[in-house]
Amino acid sequence: MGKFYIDDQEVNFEPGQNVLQAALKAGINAPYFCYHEALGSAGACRMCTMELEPTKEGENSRLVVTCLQAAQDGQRYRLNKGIGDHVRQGVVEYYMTRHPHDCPVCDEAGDCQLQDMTILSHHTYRRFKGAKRTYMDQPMGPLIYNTANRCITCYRCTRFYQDYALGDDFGVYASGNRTTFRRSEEGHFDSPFSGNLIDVCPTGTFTDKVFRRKFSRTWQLEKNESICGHCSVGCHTEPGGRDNSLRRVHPFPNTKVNAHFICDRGRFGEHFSEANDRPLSAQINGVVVDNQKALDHIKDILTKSAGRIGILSSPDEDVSCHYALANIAEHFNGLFSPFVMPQTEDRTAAALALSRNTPSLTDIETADGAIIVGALTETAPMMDLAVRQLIKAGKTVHMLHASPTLLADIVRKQHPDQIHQAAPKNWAQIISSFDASHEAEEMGPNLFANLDTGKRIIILGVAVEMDIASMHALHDLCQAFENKQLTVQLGFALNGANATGSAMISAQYPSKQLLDAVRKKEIDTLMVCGADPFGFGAADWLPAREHIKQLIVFDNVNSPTLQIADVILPHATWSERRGISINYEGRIQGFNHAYQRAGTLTAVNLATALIGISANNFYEQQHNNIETLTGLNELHYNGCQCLNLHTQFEGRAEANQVSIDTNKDSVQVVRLTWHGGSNKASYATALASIKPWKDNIIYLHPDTAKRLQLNAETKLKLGNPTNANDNPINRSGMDQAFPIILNDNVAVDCLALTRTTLHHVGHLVNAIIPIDKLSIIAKEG
Amino acid sequence: MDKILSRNFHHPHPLNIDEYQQAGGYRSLDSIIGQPRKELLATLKNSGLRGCGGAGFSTGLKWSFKAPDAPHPVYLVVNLDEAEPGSFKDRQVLYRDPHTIIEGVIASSYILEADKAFIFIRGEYRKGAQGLEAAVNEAKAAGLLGYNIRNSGWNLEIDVHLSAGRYICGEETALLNAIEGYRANPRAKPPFPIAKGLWGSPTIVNNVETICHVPFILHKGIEWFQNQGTNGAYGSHIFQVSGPVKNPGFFELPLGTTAREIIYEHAGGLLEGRELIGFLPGGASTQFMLPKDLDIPMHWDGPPTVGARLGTGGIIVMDDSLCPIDFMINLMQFFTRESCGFCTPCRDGLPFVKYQLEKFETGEADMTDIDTLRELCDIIYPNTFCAFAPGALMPIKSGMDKFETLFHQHIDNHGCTHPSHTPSTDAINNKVDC
Repeated sequence: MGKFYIDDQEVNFEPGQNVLQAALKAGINAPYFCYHEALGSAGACRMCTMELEPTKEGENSRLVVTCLQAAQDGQRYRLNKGIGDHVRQGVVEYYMTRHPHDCPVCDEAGDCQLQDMTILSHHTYRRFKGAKRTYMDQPMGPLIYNTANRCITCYRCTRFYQDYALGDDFGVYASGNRTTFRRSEEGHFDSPFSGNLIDVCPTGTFTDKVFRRKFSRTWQLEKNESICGHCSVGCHTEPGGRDNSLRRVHPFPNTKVNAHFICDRGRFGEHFSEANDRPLSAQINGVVVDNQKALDHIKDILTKSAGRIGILSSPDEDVSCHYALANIAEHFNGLFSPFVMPQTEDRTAAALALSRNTPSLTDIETADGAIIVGALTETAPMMDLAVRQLIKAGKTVHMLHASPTLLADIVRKQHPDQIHQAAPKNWAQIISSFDASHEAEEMGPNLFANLDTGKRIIILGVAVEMDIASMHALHDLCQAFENKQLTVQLGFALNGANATGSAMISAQYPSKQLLDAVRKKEIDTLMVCGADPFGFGAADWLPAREHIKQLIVFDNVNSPTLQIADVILPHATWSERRGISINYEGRIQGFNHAYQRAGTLTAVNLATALIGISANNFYEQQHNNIETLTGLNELHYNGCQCLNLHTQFEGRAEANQVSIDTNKDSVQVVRLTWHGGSNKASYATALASIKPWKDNIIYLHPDTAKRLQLNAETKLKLGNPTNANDNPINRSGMDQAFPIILNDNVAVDCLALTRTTLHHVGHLVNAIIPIDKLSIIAKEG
Repeated sequence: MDKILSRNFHHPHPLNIDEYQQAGGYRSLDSIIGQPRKELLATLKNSGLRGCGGAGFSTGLKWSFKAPDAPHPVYLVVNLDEAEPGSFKDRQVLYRDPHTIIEGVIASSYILEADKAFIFIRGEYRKGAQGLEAAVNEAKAAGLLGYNIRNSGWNLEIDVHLSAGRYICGEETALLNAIEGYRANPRAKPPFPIAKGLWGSPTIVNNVETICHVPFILHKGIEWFQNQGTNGAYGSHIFQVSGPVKNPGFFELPLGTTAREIIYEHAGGLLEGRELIGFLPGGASTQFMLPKDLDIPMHWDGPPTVGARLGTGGIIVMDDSLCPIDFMINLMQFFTRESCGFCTPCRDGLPFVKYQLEKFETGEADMTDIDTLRELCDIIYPNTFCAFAPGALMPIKSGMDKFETLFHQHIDNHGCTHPSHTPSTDAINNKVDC
């Protein structure tokens, strides 16, 4: 720690910091373009030039680019008082020789670093009267709008896209003042982090195309710090809304979770709230009514069928929502569950119980090696971005996966031998064969043999794809590495943003209890909040549909379940309400509404209307409940506190352990998903339009096709997912045969199906189908 | 003076390894390989050899910056990306005597304990690169390259790398990026390549002519080397003369030969009826020298006495058949096009400079434009990422000083009145750069 001076103002710095970095930390208005806190210094824009006063007599002062200048004790810089100001005016004037000055029609105007810095540099009149060089704007898909002429060539975009996020479909072309940043061809970006180009670009070159459709000047937006509700990482976001609608989502700067960036699912997926078919008014039997009438109606129903009530929430809903619904269920002597399927609940709880010293995103970025099991990019994209920092640093990353995943593509490009493809049913066996010892190489791949003792390894699993046996295998692997004096951190990407909170609550409200009751016809009124039991959870739930007389759906997307509901209530989204969510690390994070959506309700509103709890009492009671549950006194919701997952979920890893089917004559269904394919984000129109996979197609490895004797002329029928004698279910796609597409990135013996296809055929993720149950049908014509 | 680099140029074809060895080639290695490196380096340091790429920095001193315990691999990069307008000395050695380069590389690599040498060749010199590659293979077959060379326990590989093009690749750190397969933008210094260069390893980048001198200095001794120069300079240099002279070409002469001797004796003087207006002493990115400066010795310390620099020794002669401002616009056109586009003053400032110069030619300029042009030069010159833009501005800055009256004439006459200037000149200058 030392100090230097800028215009006689004292600036403290830490060792290793450069002058600009320290100056910005100290709150000095130092101009810059190409420097970025996460991307570092480039020295390209020359905007941060300051005058360094001489240390000895007789020497001259000199101009230095402060982002490349290591801070040294006692140095004195001149910012506004020196000749550096002259240079910065020059820099801005040179930019203006080609910038189009289209601020009045630019989305960035008012929130533009180029504008700010132009003012800060005191540049006024432009002397260049020649022709400006111009470019064609490149169409970049439905998410990002490109206006190439506005570019000031700071290289932040390629430094993020190529160097930070390891994308290769976007880059810098040409030289001199013809330099331009674009994709090699028109079309949307391949990277799941492309939206960050909007934020890192200091001008309006890349702007938010979704925001553009319903534009508002950014200072007119209602904003607040929120938590992203689209995966278990729980990134800090700042949704901006206006006039009853969401306009844009930005990352909220923080040091705990995602620091600077968010993924495209978080940014564009939140726009599911703007889908045209979102339920925004209450309905009874298809007739639109006002909320109060619907609530009276529901109160009536619940009172009449008290004792035969089930309330189903989802891990995508927050803790407050769960508590409010659980209170309602208990009041009417009914059952509650935050999980739709016991299988998911067991896996989530087991994953949390088996987590060891769960790594934060920063822990992942700074580790010395990693093992990734499952399609991480498609489950928790920001974890993938953290792993990419490891890859960039040249650390070893091993990967085991069954369905195509973008992270595997990146690892494969550099180290094809570090990719292991296999059907999930074989994972436990394969993980056990990963040898942590340095001696016995014949046992299996000898991972991290070159790593010195004391180094740190990260193991990340995707809970929804793994059976509990393979989670145990990962846990055992940790022990083996620890025996070799390596530090190991094991974490799981969970299904659902509040999966941890839901699993905590489900100890008291197990999903099996509710499902059994439904199957035993003990439930005739089912209230569903945020879940989709008759769509995605169909294999378990659909047979029970006919026993349910009243289906009340409280949701914010037009899900298959909502479409068959008797009563519909409009639910506020995370950006529109307050709540508490717990992420995969056990980090307790509160969020507050960013804007108000008229006509929507929260679960707490429901509790107030149906059972008369006042909101204040509710939150107080909830606070006490969470304190009791977590054992944390003086609970805060600012993301600073993490639960001890190990004690919290002790004993829940063994329960209901499924026996492994190693039957060689079977194939396994794996989910074919992508970063926009989560429960809610898949309803966001713009994002969903770039979905890479086709529905009603079966993707499989060429070897699997060979084994099953499938080719372009044949179709495949998967058969009934349930045992034919036991509650046959009726799905539109069950008797349908699907064409196949070969894909090398699907593991052998796996059939990869999109969410919609799975929904059609009624099979569950990871279902194992004996080959004799499959039927091959010749294509017509 | 003994011819050193051009000693084999009289042969009708480049010598193969046998002919080269018969002519005395590779004999220097006898007195180098196996000798203590420290002593060799000291000899080199004392010899006064200076980098022939244009900067003229002491080679021995530069090499001594390599830490003695520097981690391996150590790379030697030979800069043969000769793209400077007016320079064509390296080309001669490449096309006419590739084994001289290899001998130099082996000797230099031994001193530096380099494990691998890259010879980075300008893309247009493809044929020369093929010849060099063939010569490298011959040397390999003769045991001069490879594993445990002459039982010294030291290994060396040579990689001939043909550039994909662009002037900026000649900048040493951009060159490293180009070899690594990245876009050829310069890297930030520090760390200097000698500490962290190719793939983060210690890397020494030198011009090919410098490298070729090394074995001769070590073989024949300091005294011999120093005697090759004249007027207080050491060694020889391949001077090149282009422009309206009777005998344009290259001449290996003692370093320190006067410009008058080079232009009027060796290059045969200007064409009949032409008058010398000025000349650029060492390629396009050097300052103008005037006829009154003709007797200045052309060595590292000569041109700086009149505010110029030796550069590559590629003299571009400018006569009265054209307007000097047109000449400068032509240079700016080149530099504007070749800027890598990384830092603002160079990328966007140089086109502005070119625009300002064009205003004088087309008659749009007034007195304020002289100040604007000077201000542009003053801001851009010291504030760019690498030495490209300062080099580009050297002829402009010096041209403004040395031909100042000309700028005033252009303003007074509302444009260029030189007979060579036609409206089509403006059209050419203003055409969109490719």
